[in-house]
Amino acid sequence: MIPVQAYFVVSAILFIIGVIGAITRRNAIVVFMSIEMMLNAVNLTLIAASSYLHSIDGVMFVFFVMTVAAAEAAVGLAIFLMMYRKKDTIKLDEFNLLKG
Amino acid sequence: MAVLIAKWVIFVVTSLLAIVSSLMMITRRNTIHSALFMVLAFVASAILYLLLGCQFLAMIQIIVYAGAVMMLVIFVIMMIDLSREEKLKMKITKTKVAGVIISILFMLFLILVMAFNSVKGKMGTLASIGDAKTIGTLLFSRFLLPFEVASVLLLAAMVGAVMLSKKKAFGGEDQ
Amino acid sequence: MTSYIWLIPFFPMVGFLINGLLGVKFKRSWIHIIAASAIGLSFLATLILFFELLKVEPAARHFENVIFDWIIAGKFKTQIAFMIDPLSIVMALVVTGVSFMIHIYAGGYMHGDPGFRRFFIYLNLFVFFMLILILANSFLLMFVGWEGVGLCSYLLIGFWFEKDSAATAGKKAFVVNRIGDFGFVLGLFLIVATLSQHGIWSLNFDVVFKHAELLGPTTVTAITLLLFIGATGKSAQIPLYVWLPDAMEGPTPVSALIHAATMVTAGVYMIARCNVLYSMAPVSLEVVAVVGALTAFFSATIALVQNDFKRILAYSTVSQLGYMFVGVGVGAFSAGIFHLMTHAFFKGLLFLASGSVMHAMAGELNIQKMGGLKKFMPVTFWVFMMATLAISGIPGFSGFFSKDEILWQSFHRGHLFVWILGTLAAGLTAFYMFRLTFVAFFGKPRMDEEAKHHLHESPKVMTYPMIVLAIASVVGGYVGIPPVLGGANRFEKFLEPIMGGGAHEAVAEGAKAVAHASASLEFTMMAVSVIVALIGIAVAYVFYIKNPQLPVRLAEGMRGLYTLLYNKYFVDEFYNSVFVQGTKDFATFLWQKVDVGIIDAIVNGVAGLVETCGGLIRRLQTGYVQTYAFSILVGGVAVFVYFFWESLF
Repeated sequence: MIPVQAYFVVSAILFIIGVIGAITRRNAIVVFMSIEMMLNAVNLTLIAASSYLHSIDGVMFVFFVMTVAAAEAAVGLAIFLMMYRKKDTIKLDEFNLLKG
Repeated sequence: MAVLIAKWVIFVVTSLLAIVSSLMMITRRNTIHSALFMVLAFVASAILYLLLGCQFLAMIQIIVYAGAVMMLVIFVIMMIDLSREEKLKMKITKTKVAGVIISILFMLFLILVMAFNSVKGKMGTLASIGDAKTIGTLLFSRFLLPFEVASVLLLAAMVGAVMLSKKKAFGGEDQ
Repeated sequence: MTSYIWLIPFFPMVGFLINGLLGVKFKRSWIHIIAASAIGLSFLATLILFFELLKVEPAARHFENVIFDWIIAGKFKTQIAFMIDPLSIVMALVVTGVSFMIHIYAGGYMHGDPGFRRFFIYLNLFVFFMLILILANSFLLMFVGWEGVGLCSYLLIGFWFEKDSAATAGKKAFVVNRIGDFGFVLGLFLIVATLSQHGIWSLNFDVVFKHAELLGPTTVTAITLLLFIGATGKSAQIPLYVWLPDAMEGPTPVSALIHAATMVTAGVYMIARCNVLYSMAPVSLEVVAVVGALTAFFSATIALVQNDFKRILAYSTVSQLGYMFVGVGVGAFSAGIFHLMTHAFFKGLLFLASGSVMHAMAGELNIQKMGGLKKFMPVTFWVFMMATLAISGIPGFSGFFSKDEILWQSFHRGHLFVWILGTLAAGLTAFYMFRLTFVAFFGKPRMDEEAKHHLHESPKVMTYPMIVLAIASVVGGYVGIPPVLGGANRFEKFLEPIMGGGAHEAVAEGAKAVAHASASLEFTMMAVSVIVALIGIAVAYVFYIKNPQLPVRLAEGMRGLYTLLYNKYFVDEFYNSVFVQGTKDFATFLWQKVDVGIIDAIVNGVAGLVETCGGLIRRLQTGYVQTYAFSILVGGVAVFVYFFWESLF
């Protein structure tokens, strides 16, 4: 058997790549994809644990995470369209309405 | 033994594929390229799921991510003129540098923590965790309420997405 | 009869309410009739009560009419209740009677003024408060009236508020009165504080006076002095008299009503009302008498050289009020009240006549620009003459009896200093009143041709009230003819029951001395005061009829004295530079140093601190998503590391 820790290590690396993408890239769509990547890494962890423990809970969790991710994708991308219509760009540096 | 070696080979190859393609994803300037690398990374993940004996989720992963989400992303990229964004150089700020450093340190920390600890938890009794029958039975029995809630969430997301991306509101006002 | 005491203040209130709330569209004549008849009915009610009171035997002449409970705070309880006894009925008669005449007169005088309705509203309200003051059965209700008349006085002095001087004069009257009222209130507090230690929780006059012995000599002196401070404010005595001359900015009927007949007498009334307390405090009585005498003398000297018709009368009022205080101060309380009454008649009349002159002269008040008015305004001249004779103390006129009574009492009760000042003031009074008469009504007309052309006698609505008051000025004194002249001094007898303080040793001794004085001495005293008055008149005659150049030369010869008198001893300037400017400087100090420098600095400092902190924290809010993502990362890592640090080793 491949030890479960190996999967964890892979998912940790994927997660961190997602984090780095999310905080460094300026293109909103790439940031979005990085976030999806983070979710994916978490999913991998959950499935690995689930498989190791012979428990269905992790799998169910992943199922709902995917649902939410799909919903998020739909709404998020619609928001990008709106942003683009307003400012003609989806460069994240242009959006700072929350600035104090 | 041969099976184990094969599994290890598949694991290493797919893991590397996932890592490399996700790295490519965050580094490509062209958004379409990024998106395609993301698909690759997701497919690699799906293979890892299969390796873990989780067929159902592997299929879902490919259908939802590689299919639906990918389609959406590519549609949006097509609808938006990203030529300016694609010309953008990487802007290096203190926050970003700090973030990257923290992230990498955090990764090392995670790997250390995971490598030197066994997974603690209640061992289940299920022989197979991945087949559609088991999941389907559970979804319509024990997880019925979350399942229905998830469907409502999807409906809400759909309505929201339609409302947001419409050019004009119902009253004809400019959105 | 007690059941309708409330009618006396009720009528002016009704008049005030009708004109105030409904009178917007009333015709002027209607407003006048409503206002005047309200006072008239009040006068009628007072008159009926007076005759009813006469039917009761003297000792039982005290009735109270409780309207409702007012303040019940713990053990302290006070009611809205009106009281009728000889003193308050006399005051009420004077106030309602004189006010009635003035109300009638004002209808003619204010004719054509845009504030006609407002004027009568204030006037009725004033009379209402004055009657509350008089009829109150407790110090507290009296204080309500006391403050109420102060308020109305402010409103009426500043009636022509568009004129700067009038607004200022109103303010001055208000502020100066406030100073006095402060003393009054402190006096009340002291009474409550002291009596409550003996278990007496009341400010009712009869209760306080009944237990006056409990107060102790020092406390009584303090209380009476504090109350007297209130009286100096309201009744324009040294040192708080300065508001009264300025108050002449108000319409003349106001001067007649408030500053001659009613409000300014409140202090005298209050002291007479508290005669029990004052008799227990000889020091206070001495202070009252000396302050009264000084006021009488000093304001008379100021009046000598003034050229403003109403100002002369104003200083004369201050001076006569001084006499009243001499009266109550030497312990002859009824003599003070007697002079109060006769003074209300003749001073009210003098003011009304001055208003009549103003009316004819189109508002001109400088007597140097008058002259020869006798020919143009015979009625005004004759009534003015009556009042002048009365105030000068010519035998047969009311002022003679009352003033002489006061001087005689002060002499016999051993206040020689007071008597000398009073007598001198009497001579001065005769002089300046006849100076006024001679300059204004005799001689050649000095006004310009156009003004002369407009000279006319006032309408009947103005002259008739003056005639009535003139009759009162002449015969008003006959109620108090002293025994030595064959009278019975009924006035003093009438007031005797409530002058309980007269029984007190210090005062009683003086009264005994008066009673045992020989008739010849009393005649001598009378002769002295009459001669002094006649000398005053004669000097005035020489100065202003015979030899008009003489006063001018005299003024030049004694320029310093003249300037001093003409500028009223520079008291206003002194007050202005010391008290007003001092207060202003102190206030400016508080404003610029304490308020701006300390309080504002603290407030602004706190705000600035918050602002600085906010400015620093603000920088965290860049508005960029990725900054927030970074924060989430840091937080998440921190939580994770915190929980899994252990498992690393």
